[in-house]
Amino acid sequence: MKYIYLDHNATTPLHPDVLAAMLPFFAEKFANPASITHPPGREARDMVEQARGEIAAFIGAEPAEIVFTSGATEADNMAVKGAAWAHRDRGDHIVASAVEHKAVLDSCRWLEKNGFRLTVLPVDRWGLVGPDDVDRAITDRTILVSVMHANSEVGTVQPVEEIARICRQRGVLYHCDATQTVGKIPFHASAIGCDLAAFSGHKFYGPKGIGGLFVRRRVRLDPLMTGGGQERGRRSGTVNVPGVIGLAEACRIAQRDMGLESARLLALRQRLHDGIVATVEGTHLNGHPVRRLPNNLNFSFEAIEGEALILAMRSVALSSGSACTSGESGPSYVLKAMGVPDDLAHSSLRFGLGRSNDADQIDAVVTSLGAAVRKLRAMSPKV
Amino acid sequence: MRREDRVRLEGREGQKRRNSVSGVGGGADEMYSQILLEHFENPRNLGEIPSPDAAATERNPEQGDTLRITMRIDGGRIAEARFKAFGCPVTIAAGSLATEMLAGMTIQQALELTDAQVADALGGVPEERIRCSVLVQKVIRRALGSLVAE
Repeated sequence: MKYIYLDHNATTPLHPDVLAAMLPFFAEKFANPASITHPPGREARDMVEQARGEIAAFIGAEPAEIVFTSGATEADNMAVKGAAWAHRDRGDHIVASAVEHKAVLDSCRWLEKNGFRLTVLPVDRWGLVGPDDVDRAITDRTILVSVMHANSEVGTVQPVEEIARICRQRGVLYHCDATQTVGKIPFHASAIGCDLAAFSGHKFYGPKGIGGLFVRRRVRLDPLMTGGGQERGRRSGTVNVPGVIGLAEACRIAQRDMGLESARLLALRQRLHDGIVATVEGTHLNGHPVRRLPNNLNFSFEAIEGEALILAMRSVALSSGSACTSGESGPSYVLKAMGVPDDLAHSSLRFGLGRSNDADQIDAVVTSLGAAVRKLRAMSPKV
Repeated sequence: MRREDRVRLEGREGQKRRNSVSGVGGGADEMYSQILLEHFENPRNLGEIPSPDAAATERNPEQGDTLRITMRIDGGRIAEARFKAFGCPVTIAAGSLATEMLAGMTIQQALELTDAQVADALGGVPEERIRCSVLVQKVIRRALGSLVAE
């Protein structure tokens, strides 16, 4: 069956240019960049360092501030656990927003089990963290604040510059999980002023299995992985050379296309939004109406369960915040934190637009959605 | 739900049947049996019987799934059953299939119908979805329990 793929916040297909850039680094240029005793090893090292430079420039960092990881989950774990552990001599308190990715929240909870205290920051109905709440949460025992750049479910973009400023004034580290923004909207680590930032290749047409952590100069971090001392001792393990090359190519493409592509996606998103609102009654937009990722929409459909809606649409690949699909016992914790009632959280769909989508597809989705909603509402004892 | 129920619901029969059906596509089509998908696509006995002889609605508090079954009873047997459902595909398909199974049953037989039998008749329910599916037995017992007591 042919799908209209609208799940680009989960992952994206590899860009053909990224694949082409990576291919020589599997079998032909396979050397270990740590093997600097021979020319192939030195060439691999040079290629990795050149890629590091390009990636660093793309996110507003110095090359030495980039640590390659297996993805954003590892980068988030490294940021939260590594920073807390390295600074445990001067505090035992961490702060994270309620809508952080589980990679951050579960790392914080792991720290909680190991003697740290955690303050979870509330969000408003749009999913926004209040900078004043950050300020109030910080104590003289606080080591780290973690507030993401944009949320993967509802796309809300946080006031990260303001949060970074508060953290700097209060002398605590600020980790910004930028997994959903790097490659989609401008992310500039030094302009934002964060100390740590996680990102991932496959969210913007790069390969899976590669990501990175920005670590500001002089920020201490205990490594999660110990061993060969790669990545300046911050992340042992042979560097994923094809992944790094692919990540750099994805950054290059994003740098080149971001302006045009995000404008195109914004227009498509508006078309989808207007189509849904015109076709379907009883809809609720989740997330901020304006401060959100250009490719993300999240709607709840009254009296309908999300997974049933996805299945009834058949040929559209989507995700939902309903309990059945979240893998949790309740519906999406992000929607819950925003105060969305459980019934509406169960009925939510996330639309993640991307390069493969065009206006015809959006119109087809709206038509299919309208028919599926009518069919399911006719079944519902709630209507 | 109890672990042993889960095992029974995901019983070998259901598993076998589910695996033996070739899906038309990928993703959700492989997650659910053809029988389940067919009931979800074309639900039987959808709606509500006006002035029913027995009726009940049950809601799963955690997931919010809701199933309503109304029945017409004639000479101690269920002459007709209809359903309405809010919930995931499993809830909807289970409601549809249950109304087919109920038709012709005595009240006693209906009271003995279990979620495991419904799940098995659906060609098996994926383990991670079982928590969404177990409303049928509750609805029937609530609807018919009072009739037996009388």
